Amino acid sequence: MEAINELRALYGVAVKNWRIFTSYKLWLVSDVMMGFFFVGQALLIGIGLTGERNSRALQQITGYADYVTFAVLGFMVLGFGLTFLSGFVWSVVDELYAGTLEYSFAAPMRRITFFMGNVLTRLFLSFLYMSVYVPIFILLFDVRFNFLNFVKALPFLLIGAIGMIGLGMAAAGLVLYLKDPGPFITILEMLVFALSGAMYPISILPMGLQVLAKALPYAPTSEAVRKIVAYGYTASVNEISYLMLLSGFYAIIGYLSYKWSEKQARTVGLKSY
Amino acid sequence: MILSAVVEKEFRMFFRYPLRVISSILVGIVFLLQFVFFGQAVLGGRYSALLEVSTGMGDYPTYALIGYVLWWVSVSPMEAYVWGVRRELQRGTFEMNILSPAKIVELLSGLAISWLLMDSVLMMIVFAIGAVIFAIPLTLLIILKSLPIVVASLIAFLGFGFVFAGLVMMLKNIGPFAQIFEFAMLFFSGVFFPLNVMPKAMIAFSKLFPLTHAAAVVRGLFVGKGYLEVWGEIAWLLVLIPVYWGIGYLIFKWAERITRVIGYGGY
Repeated sequence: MEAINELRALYGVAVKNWRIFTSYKLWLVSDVMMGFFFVGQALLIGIGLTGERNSRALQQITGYADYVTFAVLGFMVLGFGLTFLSGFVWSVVDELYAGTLEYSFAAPMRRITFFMGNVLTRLFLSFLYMSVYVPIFILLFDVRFNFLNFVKALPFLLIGAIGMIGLGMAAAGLVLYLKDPGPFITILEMLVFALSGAMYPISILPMGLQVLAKALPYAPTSEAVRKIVAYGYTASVNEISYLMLLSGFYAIIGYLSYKWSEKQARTVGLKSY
Repeated sequence: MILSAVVEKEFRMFFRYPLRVISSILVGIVFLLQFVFFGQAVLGGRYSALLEVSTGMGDYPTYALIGYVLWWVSVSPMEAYVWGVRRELQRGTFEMNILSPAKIVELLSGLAISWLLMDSVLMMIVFAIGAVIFAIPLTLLIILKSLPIVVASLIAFLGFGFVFAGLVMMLKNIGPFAQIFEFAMLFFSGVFFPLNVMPKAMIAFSKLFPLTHAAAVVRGLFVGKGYLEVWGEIAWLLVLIPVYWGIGYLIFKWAERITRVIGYGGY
């Protein structure tokens, strides 16, 4: 019975978020357009700088000669990955600024249900965007990749997602204790963005940043997905093993820090504006 | 007097949260790095012969840095109207400001000028960091020669953004529309790629944006050209200043008339 109540609460949070989002229809247009700007920029930068559709330099570093396909895969992993971070942290911040956080947290549901409801809406949107992007990118930008291998890479995208959820939970715990968490989240998102390897191989970064990129779950997920799509499972064993290890680590850290922050919140109380 | 009070208020509100300043600078740097590193990964270096033939500047990090910094500042007045006014609407302070014995045009201009100045400060920092990261050769002469063009560009950007001042009063939540427009400007002004890769009609359309000309002039000066050699672009920029101020003012007056009937509204 309790499980059913939690599921109903989860559905309620997801529907509420969906309604808020769809009440500003232009946001949907703006979000979808963002993908086209991103990939369109990649194509025009490549053409403008090299005059060609393929890059030998990129192929030497990553195995991908087609820089647009490289950017598309990176963009999709990043978009999917940011879903969890934003679901966990922006949901708190939005409600905090709107003054409804205390009410939401006082509702008869587990706090994780509140977070997962937010994530669920964003996840649905992420898949919706992907279903729009993939066929249009193929038609418009002549993106070429082995679709079977792309499907084979999806389970590892989900394994990476476990690590991303862990990071999101840890970040959500921190957000509860900051007076003005907006800038903190922006900094965190920018770090993720810069170190995700979405648009460029992380091997061109300075060594310190490479280590940091490897320590976050985003770049290892992008690398594993790209390698599986290009070469299949057998050639990607190292990337897959590392990703599984890292995701497991973040899942544990995320869970522990979330439990700790919840315990703390019960003692010191939540803040509101 | 009112103008300076609004500017002071906005400065105080922004700089009292140091983490907000740091995050704004970081956003500026990360966004730049994405595209420059992508270009370098595709090129296998920083120099593009093709870019030099089409624009006169072959060093991609310099090309991108100039365009990017100017783009950021160019959308600043637009952001001020869209987000600044919306913020006041959400906080419920917009009506009070409208009722104060200040002209609304002064209030909005103060908002735009303060955001433009704040973003200029942030972008100077981003430019300096970018110049260090990408080892961009800078001389005092180049900077001094670029300054009058940058000032003219700022005036043009203010006029361009003024078009949005009326719209935001009337339509309230135009954030997504502005966001689409800002990213469209990235395309049409050749911030990260040379415009010659686009169809001719789009190249002609790009001439309508002050940013296109501002970036072309500053890039020209950076490769050692004189004002006379980039005079065509300077002339475009100077012509667009009164045009956008005029269009912006007319739209604003029209929107103000309508808003007086339907109300300024709150959230």
